[in-house]
Amino acid sequence: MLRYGKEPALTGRLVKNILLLALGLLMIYPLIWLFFGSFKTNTDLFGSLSLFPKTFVWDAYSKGWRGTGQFTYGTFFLNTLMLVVPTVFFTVVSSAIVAYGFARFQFPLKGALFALMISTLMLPQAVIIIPRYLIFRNLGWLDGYWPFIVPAIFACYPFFIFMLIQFFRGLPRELDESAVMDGCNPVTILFRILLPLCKPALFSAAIFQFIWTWNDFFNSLIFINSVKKYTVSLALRMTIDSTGGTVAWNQIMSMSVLAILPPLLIFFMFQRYFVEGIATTGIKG
Amino acid sequence: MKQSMRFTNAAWGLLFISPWIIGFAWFQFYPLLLSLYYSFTDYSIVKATHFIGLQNYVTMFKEDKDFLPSLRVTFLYTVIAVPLKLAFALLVAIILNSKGRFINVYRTMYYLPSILGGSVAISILWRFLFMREGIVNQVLSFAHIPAVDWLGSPNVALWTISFLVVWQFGSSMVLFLAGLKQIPADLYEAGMVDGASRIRMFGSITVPLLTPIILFNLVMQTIGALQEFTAAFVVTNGGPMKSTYLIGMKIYDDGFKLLHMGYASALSWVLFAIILILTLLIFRSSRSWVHYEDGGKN
Amino acid sequence: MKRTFKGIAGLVICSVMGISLAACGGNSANAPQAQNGSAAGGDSTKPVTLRFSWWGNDTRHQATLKAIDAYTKLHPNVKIEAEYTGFDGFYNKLLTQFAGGTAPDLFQFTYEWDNDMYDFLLDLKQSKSLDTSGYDPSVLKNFANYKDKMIMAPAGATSVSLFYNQAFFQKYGIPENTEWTWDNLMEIGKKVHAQDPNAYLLTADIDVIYKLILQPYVAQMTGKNWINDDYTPAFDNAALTKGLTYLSELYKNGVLEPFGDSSAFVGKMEQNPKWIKGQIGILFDYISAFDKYKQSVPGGQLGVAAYPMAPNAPQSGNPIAAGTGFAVNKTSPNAEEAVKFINWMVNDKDAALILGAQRGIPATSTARKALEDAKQLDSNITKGLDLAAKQKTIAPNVISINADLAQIAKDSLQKLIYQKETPEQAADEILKAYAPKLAALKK
Repeated sequence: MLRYGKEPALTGRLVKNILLLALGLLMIYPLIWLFFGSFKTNTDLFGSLSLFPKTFVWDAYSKGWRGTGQFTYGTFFLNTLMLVVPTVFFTVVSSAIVAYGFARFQFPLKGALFALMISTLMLPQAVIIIPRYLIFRNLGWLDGYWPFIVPAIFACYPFFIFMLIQFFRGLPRELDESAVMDGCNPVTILFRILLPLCKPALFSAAIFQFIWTWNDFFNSLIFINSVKKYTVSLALRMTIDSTGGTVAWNQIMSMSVLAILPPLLIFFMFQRYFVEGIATTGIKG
Repeated sequence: MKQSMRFTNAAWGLLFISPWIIGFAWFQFYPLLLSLYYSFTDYSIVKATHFIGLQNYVTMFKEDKDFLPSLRVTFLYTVIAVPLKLAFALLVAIILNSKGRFINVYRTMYYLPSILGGSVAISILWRFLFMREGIVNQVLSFAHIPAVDWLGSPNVALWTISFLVVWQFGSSMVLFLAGLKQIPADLYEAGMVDGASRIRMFGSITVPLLTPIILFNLVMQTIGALQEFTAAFVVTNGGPMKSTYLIGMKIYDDGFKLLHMGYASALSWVLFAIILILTLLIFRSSRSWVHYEDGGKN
Repeated sequence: MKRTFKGIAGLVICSVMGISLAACGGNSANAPQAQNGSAAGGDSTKPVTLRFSWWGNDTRHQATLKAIDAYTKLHPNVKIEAEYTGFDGFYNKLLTQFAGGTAPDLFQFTYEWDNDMYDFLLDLKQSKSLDTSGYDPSVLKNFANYKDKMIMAPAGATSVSLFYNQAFFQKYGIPENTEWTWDNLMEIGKKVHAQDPNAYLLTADIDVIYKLILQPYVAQMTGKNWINDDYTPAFDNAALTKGLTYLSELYKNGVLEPFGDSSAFVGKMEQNPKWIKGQIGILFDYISAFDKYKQSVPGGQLGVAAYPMAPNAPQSGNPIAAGTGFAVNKTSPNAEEAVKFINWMVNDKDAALILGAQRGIPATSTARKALEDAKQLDSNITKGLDLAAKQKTIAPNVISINADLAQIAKDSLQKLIYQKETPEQAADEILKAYAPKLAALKK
């Protein structure tokens, strides 16, 4: 692993751990606050800075889960998975393929195409949402998850393409060249040589896309109509009426806590792939 | 022979990028083009649309009193938030790039803000933290530091917003971690054999090999910051006195609140041009500081 | 990236490709999505599916879903797809749907959107299915009708009220039956703040300052709306300066909570800790928000009083607003069925009992009577409405709530509040910016 130099002394490690933990607590304070907030009444929540509830309200989770009574959060979680999982899978696969094309091959207009790809990130969402809506309407894809999944199949998330290009370019070209000697073609080079070496990057891409799609509100709001197809992030805002109705915030908080768990677990499980890396390939002679 | 080799190389390349070409033509080109067209009209979503030429662009520079100030605010925000976020992310990534019993827990902890960022409930916490009698000021008062008007003072609010965004440094951190993992360990072993110090190796191995990822994070964070919307919208609503009225928020307001979608499109295209130029400058400069293991042949 | 600038030709090629492909996608099917049903006005047994969208909180959702159930039991041929959300984003989504021709058949609506959505809405006068006899004619005139059409069936009435924390009033010796004027508001507020520097008689966000303090204050001087029907300001520089001076005095004297402290709670003052802790005495808001504030005051000790009125003012500037209701998509193939359903929601006794006061005190006499008989009306809410009804008032108009004009005024208001401008300068600035905007809007 990336541990050069000597093993630090025990006191050094202790100091480091204490510092990491202190700063780490600052990082997760919001989650802790959210958790305790899910047991508070509205007055307690807004009227006091204290982390702990004055009196515990226990039914926020069961009431929150039931939602309006028409559909439970079980439906919303399932919907979100149905939207997120294919989107993540296709994003990673298609972005890797396209990134490979940009990173390793010469073709006419490559610079222009690359610039065009990056430039699709440069217009604010607010002004392209209506044209995009028209496209998906014409395709008959509204009120479903295709507006998220099909663009993923066709690599319409340039963030990930660019990201993987940068990682591919960090791998020596001698790798490809020696693979060609061994009779590999470009496809097998990608899948057998480069992708395994880019595991940390691929998992980062998967994690990001998972979390961003999981949390996405604006696109889901515009493209999905039926409550039975709502995602969790839509459902969480379903009962917030800023024009006057009372909102049971503890229920929203309780469901927010649950909504955070899947991304959190995904990250926790996948992060070991940052640990593995390519420490032992010995590619540099 | 050489000719045909080059052809196959190009053919393979085009084949690999073909999904994106289709996707772009299918889903992305039309919105780009339509928004450009809108920018020359008085498109309002709900009323008949008229072609008005460059009028929107003239209005922007001649009449709109908010346009230049909000560009200024946006630049200031970008200059504050992006370097801070990247520096913090890199620092934490280097610390967390080690073995240890709890290192996976730490990584998850440090990534958490990035997961929580979009949560509806968290915006309440922001107000709690930063209101005048809020948590941050209480903590400061223990250290006998006078209370700061984090959200209510026009001079401070932009810093508060930037702080919130820096706090969500997780994605950049993860990419740095992934980049660090891609650095072959034998380079360090060779360095150690040569008797190089850790600091020396950091400067001569870690940083150069990480430059492609630094470039990526820099470009993406800059693009993101110039369009930032959520933080200002949720926490300060652009105020006080427009001190956090980022151009991304102005575009949203003009388009979806005041229904001047044509004008919002024109603003977006000016922003687009600015972002494009800045990105090109970053790429230009990158030739002198980014090190590619593939020999920089692209 | 190196060859970016060389690649303009590539861009062009790509553009051509993109246009041809996008055009393929862009020209098919323009018809709205709801096509399941029969043609408008068909017989009442043909199966019909209506898409109905509204915003609200949990209780409103549940009540409305129950109402849908009840209605579809009565009319088994009608199926109603409920598309409900919170308020945030509802307007954006509806706009996008109109742009795409995919808007629902019927939806909750507010008269504040009259000017934006007018073109897309069905003229309810054309429909025989809506019985308007239960509405007060002035409600129809002021809120249901816009230009030459009736575009909304109002659901409930509301008005601006003065909410006060009863414990706060006791603590500072303010009689609950105080008849509020702008002058005694200032005096009492001064005293309160002098007694306790942490206490403020009043708090307000920028929207409340503009809509519920400045506009009515000026309207009570002029006796008119904010903007005249002929698109001229109904106030002169002197009146506006007076209003702005009053406002800046409120801040200078500590009557209003400092702007910076309250600015984090725009539209959600019930979350303001100072209000919850009882350090603020009064809030202005629509009476329909009563529950929200009641729940946020310890012990639920919330009182309702009449809105401040200057002595001898020709009008209060606080009309009873039946601002929320239902509207029908003009292009809906089942418009007639949608109107029938709306008719049932606003007029039927059973519907009234199910829907309660979820969208304000019912606007039709039958529905209101049903709730009164069943004792389902909160006496505080009816009190607030009655108090507003007693004050003289004139009919509001749509131009006065224009978003562009609001934006201009709010910008100047902030400069005034942060003392970057004097009231005179702010008044000049507002009037100067209003003139071209109003001219453009008149077109």
